[in-house]
Amino acid sequence: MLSVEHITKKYKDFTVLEDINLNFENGVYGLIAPNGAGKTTLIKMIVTLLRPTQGVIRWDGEDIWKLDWKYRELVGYLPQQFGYYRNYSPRAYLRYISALKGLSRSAAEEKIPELLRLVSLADAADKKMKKFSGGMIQRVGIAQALLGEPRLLILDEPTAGLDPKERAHFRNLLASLSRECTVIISTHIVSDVESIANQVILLKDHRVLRQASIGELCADLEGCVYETSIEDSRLPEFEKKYQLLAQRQEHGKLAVRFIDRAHAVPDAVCVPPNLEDVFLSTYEGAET
Amino acid sequence: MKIDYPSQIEIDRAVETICDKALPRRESLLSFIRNMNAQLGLKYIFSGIYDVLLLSGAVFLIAVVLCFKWLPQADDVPSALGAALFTFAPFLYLAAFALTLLKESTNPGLPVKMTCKYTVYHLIAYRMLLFSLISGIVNTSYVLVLCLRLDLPPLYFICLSLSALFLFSAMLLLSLYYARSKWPPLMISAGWIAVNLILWRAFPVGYGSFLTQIPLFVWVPAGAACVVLYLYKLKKLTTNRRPFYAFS
Repeated sequence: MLSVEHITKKYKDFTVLEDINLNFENGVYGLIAPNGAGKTTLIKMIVTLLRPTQGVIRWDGEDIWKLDWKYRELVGYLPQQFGYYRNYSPRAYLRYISALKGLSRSAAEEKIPELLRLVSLADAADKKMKKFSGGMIQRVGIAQALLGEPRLLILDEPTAGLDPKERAHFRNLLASLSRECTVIISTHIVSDVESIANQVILLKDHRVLRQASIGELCADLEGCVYETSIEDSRLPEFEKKYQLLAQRQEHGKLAVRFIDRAHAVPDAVCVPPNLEDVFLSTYEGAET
Repeated sequence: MKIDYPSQIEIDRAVETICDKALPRRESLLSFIRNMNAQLGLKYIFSGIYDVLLLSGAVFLIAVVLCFKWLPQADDVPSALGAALFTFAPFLYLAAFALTLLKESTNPGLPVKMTCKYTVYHLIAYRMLLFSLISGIVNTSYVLVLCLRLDLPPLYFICLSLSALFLFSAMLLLSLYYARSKWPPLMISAGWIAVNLILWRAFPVGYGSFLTQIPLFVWVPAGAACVVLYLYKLKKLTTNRRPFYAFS
């Protein structure tokens, strides 16, 4: 399906991404990294908005730049900042994008009402988007990305602006779509991908650190994540010794979740690690 | 066993793939225009730039009116007309193009449009072709009227005007094709007017005389060569796409 082979992107002397190698089949892929790690640059190269300095991206073995529109026809893309047309209604906007995507009028008229229902915008289909909330705009963005039944769906920070109910609905939608297409979600919000991603890609220091399933990533921290309660005053000392993952007030004490590879805190309880723990331990010190 | 009937999109895509494998096509400029018309229609090709067209038309109309008022009073009418035509023949085209490029490059929906089958490059190529045709027709019309009014040979000045238009168009297209930012095309646009005006100002009679001394058999092949280069590169702009450069 999609393969990213030895991709490097440089701007003059600054290297944004270096020797990136990835393979994508049908399913959901979470591309996780702190802000500024090069996620959006990688996404832009996959959707042909940027050319790599070195390397090649292939779809079914063919260079995506040589495939030209035959590749773009298969791609659905939601950019990080979805620019919309204030004076268009969602229906008019989707008609416009479906024409640009090369859909026949009959196919577009069949698909647009279905998509508007899917993103819960059927009632607002003919209202101008300038009156829409951020969440509604994002849902229009999701609908346009799904136009043309894409086989490669690429979503850059897709849940920005969505409320918890919309996020859950969106996750279910992606999970159902992923049976027949490749979905790549770029995010720094771990919960967006935790329940649906078949594979997670971690970027660090301009390179791919890991591409693995959530189970495999969590296995690395198995037996190392603990929870315990401490007095508030002990926190600075605790932070010096262990990598703190989370903390909350509980019954007048501070409940902490931390990484301890030597099991040096006797009364601490070992807990199963999750993707958030993996993310925090991987990007310790990085600005997320 | 139940097999779902494919959707219209799946049917279209499968038919397209089969046809493409069996009968590989090299799309000509004419079929490109036909396909764009059929798929998008003028409504979507010119979507969001009606104000640009109106503004360009209005500015151009003012320039033509000023030209009609001022030219008959010039010392050497043929050389003044030659200089004015060479400088301002691409003006309508330039105004429409520059405003379209600026508008598209600041369009918030640009990333999505650049990942569709028909990208902004396709839209720009189609618009440029139409702008040049409209400019050619409009220029020919007013040059004809001016020449009849001033009793000058219309064929010569029409050829001069069309050659200037397509020389500029070809230069602009090459800059758009090869440039890695939007600035070279914009600099060529501004530079054409500025350089010609400076030369005209520096040599009020000499510049126009020089232009009008170039014989017709030079203007015609030069103009024709520019038209061929222009059409060739216009088609290439859509097939040999460069990512975003003109819009970044």
